[in-house]
Amino acid sequence: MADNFVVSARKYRPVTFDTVVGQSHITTTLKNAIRTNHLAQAFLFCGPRGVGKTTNARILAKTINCQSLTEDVEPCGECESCVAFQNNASFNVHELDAASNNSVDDIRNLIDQVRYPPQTGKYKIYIIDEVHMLSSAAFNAFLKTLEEPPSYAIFILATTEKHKILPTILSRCQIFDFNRIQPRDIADHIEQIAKKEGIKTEREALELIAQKADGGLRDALSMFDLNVTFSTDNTVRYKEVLENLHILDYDYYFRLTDALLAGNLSETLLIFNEVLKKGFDGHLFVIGMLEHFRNLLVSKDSATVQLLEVSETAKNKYLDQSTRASLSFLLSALSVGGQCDINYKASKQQRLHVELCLMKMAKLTEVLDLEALAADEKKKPNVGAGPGGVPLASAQNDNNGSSPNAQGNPVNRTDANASSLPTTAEPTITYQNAPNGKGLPLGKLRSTVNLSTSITDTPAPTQVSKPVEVALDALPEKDLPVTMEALKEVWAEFSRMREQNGGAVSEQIMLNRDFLFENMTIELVLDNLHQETLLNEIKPTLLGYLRRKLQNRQIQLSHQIAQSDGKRNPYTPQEKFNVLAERNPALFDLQRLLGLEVDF
Amino acid sequence: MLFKNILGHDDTKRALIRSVQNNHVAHAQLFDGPVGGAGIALAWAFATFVNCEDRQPDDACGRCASCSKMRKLVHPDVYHIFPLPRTPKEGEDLLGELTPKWRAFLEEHPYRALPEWLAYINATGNQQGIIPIKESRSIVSKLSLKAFEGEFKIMLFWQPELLNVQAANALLKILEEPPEKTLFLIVSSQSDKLLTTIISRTQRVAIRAFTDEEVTQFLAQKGIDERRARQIAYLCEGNLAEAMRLTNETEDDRHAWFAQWMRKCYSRDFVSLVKLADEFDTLGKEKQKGIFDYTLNLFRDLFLWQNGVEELLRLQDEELSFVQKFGKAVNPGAIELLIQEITDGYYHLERNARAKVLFLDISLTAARTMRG
Ligand SMILES: [Zn+2]
Ligand SMILES: [Zn+2]
Repeated sequence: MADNFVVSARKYRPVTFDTVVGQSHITTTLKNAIRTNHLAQAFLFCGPRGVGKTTNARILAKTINCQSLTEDVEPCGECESCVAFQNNASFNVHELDAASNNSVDDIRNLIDQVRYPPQTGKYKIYIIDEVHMLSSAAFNAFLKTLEEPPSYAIFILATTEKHKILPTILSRCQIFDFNRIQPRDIADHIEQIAKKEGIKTEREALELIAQKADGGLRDALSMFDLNVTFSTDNTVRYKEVLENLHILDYDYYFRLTDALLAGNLSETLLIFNEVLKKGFDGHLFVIGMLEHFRNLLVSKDSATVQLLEVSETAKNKYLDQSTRASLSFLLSALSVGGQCDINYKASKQQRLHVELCLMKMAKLTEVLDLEALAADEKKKPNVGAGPGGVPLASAQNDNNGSSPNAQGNPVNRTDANASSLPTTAEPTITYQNAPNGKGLPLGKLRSTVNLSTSITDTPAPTQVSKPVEVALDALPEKDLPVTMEALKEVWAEFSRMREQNGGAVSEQIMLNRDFLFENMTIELVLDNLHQETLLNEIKPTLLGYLRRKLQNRQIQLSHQIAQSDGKRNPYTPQEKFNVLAERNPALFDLQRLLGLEVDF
Repeated sequence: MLFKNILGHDDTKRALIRSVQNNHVAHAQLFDGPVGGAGIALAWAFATFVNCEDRQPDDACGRCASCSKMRKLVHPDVYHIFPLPRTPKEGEDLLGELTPKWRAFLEEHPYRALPEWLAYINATGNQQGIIPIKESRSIVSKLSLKAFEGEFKIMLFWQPELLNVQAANALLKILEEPPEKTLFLIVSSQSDKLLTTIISRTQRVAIRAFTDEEVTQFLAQKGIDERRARQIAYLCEGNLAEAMRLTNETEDDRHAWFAQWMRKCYSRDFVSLVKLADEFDTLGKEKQKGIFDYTLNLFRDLFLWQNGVEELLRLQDEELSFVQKFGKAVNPGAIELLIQEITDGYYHLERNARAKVLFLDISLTAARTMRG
């Protein structure tokens, strides 16, 4: 270790305006000002970290003191002043780091120095870095000097936080806004440095570094250094950059999404485990997953696909996967994932928290497909259209038109299909609340998505993760006839399953009632709006179950709410109990826990 | 501390060693890993390696003068920055006073968590640990000195996330353009709390958590019997600080407690459940939370088992067979519901809800929903 290794950001800090990366709007203006002798006495350099503010301040200082400027207005690098600058020995430049020297005393020292004109050269330059960190007393002490600087003094203030600078300062400075540096410029720049250092690079690796640097050249170079450090053969490769920078390869998200789309929960859990084993944080995984869904969403539309800031290879992958992921899947997944993100920190078992979220997502395709079928069946040729809002809405109008209204039923006729459809805006919330379009009180807030786990599948352990095709296979090519008897049996089966899975008491009350069945449509009379909410919540699951079990895709479900004056008083003991239990659900628990019969 | 004293982490060790061999040591490095992980140990071993007078291909020699000083962390070119219980008074060198304790603390073992350190120096309950601006400034002045003996002056800096913004900013310049032959080895367990300006000026060394096998091995070296070691590994999730804490606890009966509880829920034995709730109420709050922790862990295993990913289970022996039997009997929907109930219960427990009521409530939900 004879020579100390110098990080690239320092070693290759530009020393002429021409070598500054990605800020040509600023270097050109500065050079023009020098050429035409219209240099301001106070500058404010604003912009994010690591984009060249201090560097440009130093180059400016060096340039205007150079004794023999080149024709191109660059410092010569050879004169006395330039050499002094290069050896960090110039008396004409003073740097103050306001982050650590922000007191009045620090600024007074600086002001004292301003009084003395330069002994050699034309200008004395004062660079105050992170100037927003100056205490307000220090600021005020400085203001006077800034207002009436001696002719030989030039102040360059640099800050990452322009909004924290007092208006009185702003008004006295020529302001330069530094840009984030474009990823391509960063990658190009690193490529040059790599060549000088004799390091081989993969372009994809450099692009990845540039992307991660988020416009900051210093960050990018520091990442580059890290990768060189860790390289065994002086080569920077994409795969190794992923490892070294601790970036999760987006391939994981592609695999994950494929597994989710196939409803393969165990695969998704294994992928998540793999990610954690590599040392990635669960929360970052969730955030990355949401980002991935967003990218898929954006890829669905040729107008928005431009928003993807990824390489061409990656873009094609997104485009490809986005054709397989339906809009409603993506929106629902974003919503489920969003909840997971929000509650992550508060969760006691964060890993489990994510795993449950993955379970909900793995169920999405199945749930959405069933819903789509429910709404879609009258429009069979509608193959290509996903279960998005529009086509379904029209399908469902058909239903309305063809639904028999023979009895001339008086009240609140609702087609629940309408409300159980996911709308494009807020999918999961729609899921839970859509039935509430009329401003009804909410039922117990619960996601249908997760409930369906236990309902549509038999509770045998391994079957939960079966691929979605199985569920679809179960739907027949040709519809079989449905008898009232069979329907009641399957209905009761469903009701029992809900109960065993901890369904709400009032849901049981809503389910355990007689109904009519005509023209393949189940007519249910509900007691109140609350029950309607509950029904709408489980309707997709219920219909899916009935259709599969009875091998008939035509089954419909409509309901009405009994008019209060037409409402029967409770008659049987069961009915009386139901009324009481609905008012006080604890009764139901009591009955169940103690195994009581309703017979008194 | 030598590399070979640290379990696992071979890739990281190799990369660090290679950086010295290739003369490519970044002057500021962020050892970023979980609490109770290998961060301090690796930084310590790396510092030892860097200043070793007789470097071997894969480790420091462990015998030279530098190495023996490094073993006790008394090398004159190594400076320590660690959290203080409070802001030092004017003229007080609190950091200097506590440094001997810090050395002793790390010599016990280097897999540490902040609360342990604060307890070790008898910090009072509301002292959270801070690194004041004065300490950051003192780094600057110390580092401008030339190294006494070793090649490098090394700053071992633990828990930089405790720097306040002002103090952190005071470090930026020196991190970016440090004096020659100076190394900053910064060890963080919460790098998301660090200023991005600090992160961007350091080279990050990612450190994973210890695996269950490594924890078990570590405990075996400390003379813990294998069965107990595996139990602890299951509970501590790669955190050796937590593992050491658990070795000091009496034999854990959480599984027995849990199994008994679940059996009663399953058989809907309400009389016993009420009694159990009374018993739960008398346990200390830590114990209560411990049972809930364990329950969540076990429920997670049930969830995994029921979803056909048995390979992810970390259980063995009677706990594994419990999950297998119980998993067959219990309705999957109930597990999900109960996970939510326990999570809520934990929240309320922390906010001083009545443990008895809480416990009974969860028990009743469990009894109602478990049987598929
Ligand atoms: Zn010159
Ligand atoms: Zn040695």
